[in-house]
Parts: sequence; C-alpha cells; structure tokens
Amino acid sequence: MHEYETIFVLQPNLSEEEAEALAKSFEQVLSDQKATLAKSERWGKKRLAYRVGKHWDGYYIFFEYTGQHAAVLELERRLRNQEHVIKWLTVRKDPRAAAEEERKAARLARAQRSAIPGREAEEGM
Amino acid sequence: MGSEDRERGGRGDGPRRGGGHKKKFLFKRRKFCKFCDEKVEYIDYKDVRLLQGFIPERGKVLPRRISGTCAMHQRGLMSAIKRARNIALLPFTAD
Repeated sequence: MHEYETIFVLQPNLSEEEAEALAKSFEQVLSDQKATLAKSERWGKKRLAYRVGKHWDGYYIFFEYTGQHAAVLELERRLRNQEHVIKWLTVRKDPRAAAEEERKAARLARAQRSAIPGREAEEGM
Repeated sequence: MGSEDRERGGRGDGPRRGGGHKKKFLFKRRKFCKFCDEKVEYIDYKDVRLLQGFIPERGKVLPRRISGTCAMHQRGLMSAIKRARNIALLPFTAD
C-alpha cells in the first residue's frame, strides 16, 4: 500500500455536470479497487502551457489516494481509454513531501497573520 | 582578448576562460541555493509559481550556474519541471 497522486486533465468543452460525472466515476474506480481517497480536488479550467489535441485549456482534477498497485493500474487504464481525458500523470508520493506540505501550510499561515494586503495570494495552487 | 581584458581590470562577467584571475561577476551569487537556504526537502511539481522562476523566456531550465541552485536541488527541480511539463502546467518551449 502506497500513497499516490494522480492528476488528469479533461477536455474543456465538457459541461460542469459531465466533468463532475467523469470525476466521480474515477473516484468510484478507486473505491472499487479498495483504495482510500485522501483528497479529490477540482482545479477547474486552466490555460494549458501548450496546445493539446485541439485545446488550449483543460479542466484539471487532482486525486490523492492510498492503494495497491493494482488500483493504480486500473485507474490509469481507465484514464487512458477515456477519450475526454487529454492528459494524466500518476506519481508515487515522496515521503518527504508530507513534511514539505506542512511547512507550506505554516508559511501560508504566517503570511496571512502578518496581513500585508495582497500578500496572501502569493502561494500558488 | 576577453581574458586580457579581465587582467587589465575590465568587467569580464560570465564564465572565465582559461587565464585571468580576477573575480568573476556572476549573475547570481555562486553559493546561494534558495532551496538549501529554506531547507526545502521536496520540490513539488504542482507548484507552478515556484517553478516558473526557473524557466525563463524560451522555456528552458535555468542552469545551475545562473540560478545558484545546488546539485541535489537542481535534480529535484528538473524532475519537478519535467513532470509539470508533461501535465501541461509548464511549457516545453515557448515561442
């Protein structure tokens, strides 16, 4: 059992409902595989850094989950076959990443407390 | 030519070639690794704002001698950038 992160990008021309439905179906795949979903985020439509297929934007979805290798394979298989998914990437979480995320949260909290207007927007994502 | 200029006390910034023992003027301080300074252990490929600082105009990764990053963090930075590129968060090339 290991922690993984998967990001995938959907075609921007989908409606909110369709995109959400797809996301939910992938979440379902994971739970079918007995993987536990820690985070499921929608980053929404973002401008792509380069053209993918015919699109310049994409709808980003982010999963953070723990599971067996088989779960990852199955999720990737589905992502690969789904034609609305234009990009995907699975990463095995680095154990050092956890410490890093805490530090980031601490930095954000500090920045907000010192309350220089506009400063809160500094940390991306 | 260039090295003679430096020996005379001319500006000579950029990498030294062969002769010339004057101090170099680099664009960024030699020893300063931003990540070492902040004791960063993991460079997140999702942190586009952080990564963008290391990708100038053409979309190429900044070399260590310019960014001042240490070897270990440069490697982490490079894999983070490559991942971000694959997920279209960063460009491969910008034209």
